Amino acid sequence: MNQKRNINICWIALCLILNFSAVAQEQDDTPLDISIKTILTDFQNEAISLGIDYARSLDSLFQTKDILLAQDKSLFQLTPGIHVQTGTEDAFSSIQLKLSGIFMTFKTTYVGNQVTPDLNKGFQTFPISLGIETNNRFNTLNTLAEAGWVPWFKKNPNGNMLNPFRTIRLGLFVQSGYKFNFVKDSLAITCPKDTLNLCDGEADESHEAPNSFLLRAKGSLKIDTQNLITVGNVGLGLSGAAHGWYDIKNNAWYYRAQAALRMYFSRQNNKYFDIAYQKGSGAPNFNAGSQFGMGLTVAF
Amino acid sequence: MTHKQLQSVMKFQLKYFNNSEVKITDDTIHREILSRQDGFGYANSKYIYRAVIRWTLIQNKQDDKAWPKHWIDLSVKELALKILTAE
Repeated sequence: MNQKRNINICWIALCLILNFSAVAQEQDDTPLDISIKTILTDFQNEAISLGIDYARSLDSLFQTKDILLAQDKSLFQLTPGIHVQTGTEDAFSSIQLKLSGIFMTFKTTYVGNQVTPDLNKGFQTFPISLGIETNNRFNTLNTLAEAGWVPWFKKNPNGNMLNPFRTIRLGLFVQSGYKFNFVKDSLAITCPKDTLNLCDGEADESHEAPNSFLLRAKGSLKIDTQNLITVGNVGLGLSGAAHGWYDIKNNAWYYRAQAALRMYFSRQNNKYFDIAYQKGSGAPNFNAGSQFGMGLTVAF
Repeated sequence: MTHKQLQSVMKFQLKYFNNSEVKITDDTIHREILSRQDGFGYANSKYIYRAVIRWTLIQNKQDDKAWPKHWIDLSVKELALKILTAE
């Protein structure tokens, strides 16, 4: 029954992909990344994991002027987006719909007698977002507001970013919202406390109680070497990310860590094959299980 | 703002995000340098680049027009021309 429903969800997701893809080809600035992986879950289930990142600028959505506020040493730009991770069997699942923006501060300089931001001196970005996060069963739904800080570092005089910061990104965030519950407790997927590491990958393992307010601090670290070395026509690189959440209200910690050996098949780095490992599902389930898999990602 | 001036600004901004040995020229395709995967959420090189170029246009008294389809697959020269001549 669950497997049939999960397969149906995958079909729905694929239909959405085709729809988004068709729209993207017609109108937009390539806003879509799709990844399909075969994975092995904690229950040794062979499953399919499907990931979708979709973001487009407001001007391409509505064919009107985008929201960009330009001040003397700062700017603010607003963009909607969708992130979906789902799959068959007990693959991790999360769906996030967000209206996001960045506030950015910088120094300026003149290039060709035109004033422009001088990113080489370093700059600060402050991402903010309003949205919802749920899983592919839609049995919980969190409304969430997020504000964060992502610094971008200076470059040295010869143009290269100071190592190791060239490929590392750091982000700090505060998240607050409300968790809604749409099913009776008897139908909810829960996980015994003493089997946290071997529980169904779809289970909600957070300490956040249904129908209550949420307050989290989040720290993220990301490394992406992109095309590090080239072997024949294939580029090889490493990609990794670690996200930690501190549940302030319940004094609990959650995490998601992922690492991948990445093989690029195009000079533009928009088609790549990953051999990847992920520990922890992240929001909203904060499932502590793990997945190992391989698959292809294409950015349209 | 002339095409040459906008191209100079674009090349200047692309240099910050260039983590490879690729030399930035008028013929550099934006996708070779920019990505949505190198940051968190919209704090990534593709969206930051677009924002700073739009900021530059606004602050230099140019119209903030909608960008062309698939701009990331255009070269510096092509995108500068399309931005300044868009209806």
